[in-house]
Amino acid sequence: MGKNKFKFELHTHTVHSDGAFTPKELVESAKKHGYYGIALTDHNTTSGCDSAVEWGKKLGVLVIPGIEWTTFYGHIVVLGGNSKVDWRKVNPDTVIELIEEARAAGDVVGLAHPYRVGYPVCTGGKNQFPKEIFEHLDFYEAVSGEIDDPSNLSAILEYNELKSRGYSLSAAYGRDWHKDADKSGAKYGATYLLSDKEKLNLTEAIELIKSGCTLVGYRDTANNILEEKI
Amino acid sequence: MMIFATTIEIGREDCFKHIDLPFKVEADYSRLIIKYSYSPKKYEGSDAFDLALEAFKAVYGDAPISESDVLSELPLNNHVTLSLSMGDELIGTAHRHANEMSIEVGGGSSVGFKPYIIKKGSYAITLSCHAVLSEKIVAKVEVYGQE
Repeated sequence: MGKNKFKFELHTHTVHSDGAFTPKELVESAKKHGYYGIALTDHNTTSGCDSAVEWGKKLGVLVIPGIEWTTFYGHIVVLGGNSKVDWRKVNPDTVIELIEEARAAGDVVGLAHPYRVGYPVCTGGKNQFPKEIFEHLDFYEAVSGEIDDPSNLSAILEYNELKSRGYSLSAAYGRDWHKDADKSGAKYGATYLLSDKEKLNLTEAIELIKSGCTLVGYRDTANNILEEKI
Repeated sequence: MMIFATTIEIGREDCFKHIDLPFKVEADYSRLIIKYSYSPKKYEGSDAFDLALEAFKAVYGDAPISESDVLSELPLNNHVTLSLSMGDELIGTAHRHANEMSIEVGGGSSVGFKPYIIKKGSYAITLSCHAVLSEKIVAKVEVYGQE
């Protein structure tokens, strides 16, 4: 699986949607928190990606351009910055075709927070897309947000069930990082990309996610993340 | 110069729908200014707590749900986002929680929108109804061209 572990956060937001960070601030904070890389996944826009990538180059953080298709039926993160799918067209009837369009362009596609509290608290927070999408996704946020959130138990259960049925889905953690101020006492995880290489570029990071070379760290004690393989 | 203006009413039957508002740009402009507002933002109906509680029940499984967790999500919000496109090209989306905003699109666009050279032709604003809890939301859109 790879001797080196590269710490990533694969689900982040900036002021280009509803986050509090500018792209620069996000990258600075990622650097401060020791991330090797992040994916910028603003809601329904990629307008902050160029700036984040540039700041990543300046500060030594690998930034994966991306987007979160924030639909009425579920949220899907698309990483790589290659596809140009119009998020407004994503619905239960079109989702598989559009996932495949994004993958064909070279992106990797994952289901975000499958069991987040949904409508009317967070529209699309709970996945309501047809089960057939699991055959077409590259990864699944098996843990998201605060690691002790009870909804993560449902997501981990579903992920393990999907794996036992033979689905080739990589596990990911998604903090859904909107701002730097952590809730007091909240615990967060990370996604580790596993590789024998000493450093990663964008293409290699995408390939590791696609090929299942991920590890979800989701038990965090005093900022020492203990990895548990899901 | 104002080139488009409309006020529409959005009802609960519009929830999870995209509402297209087409307009034309027929002169040379360096930027478009879109002024967008909708109201009300907050939903404070007597059923708000129960609606939120049901959403928690749907994902918490057997885990206990505390009243404070549910209360922390109140008041619930209406949420209608705005996108701009020309033909099949999506120029950007303002996915944020403010219900009053001014958006510039041109060489240096507002956050959420890519830099865009304004061309003459057919454009459309899309209002995406992510959450419509109130019986009626009134949305107002104005588009101005600036040379």
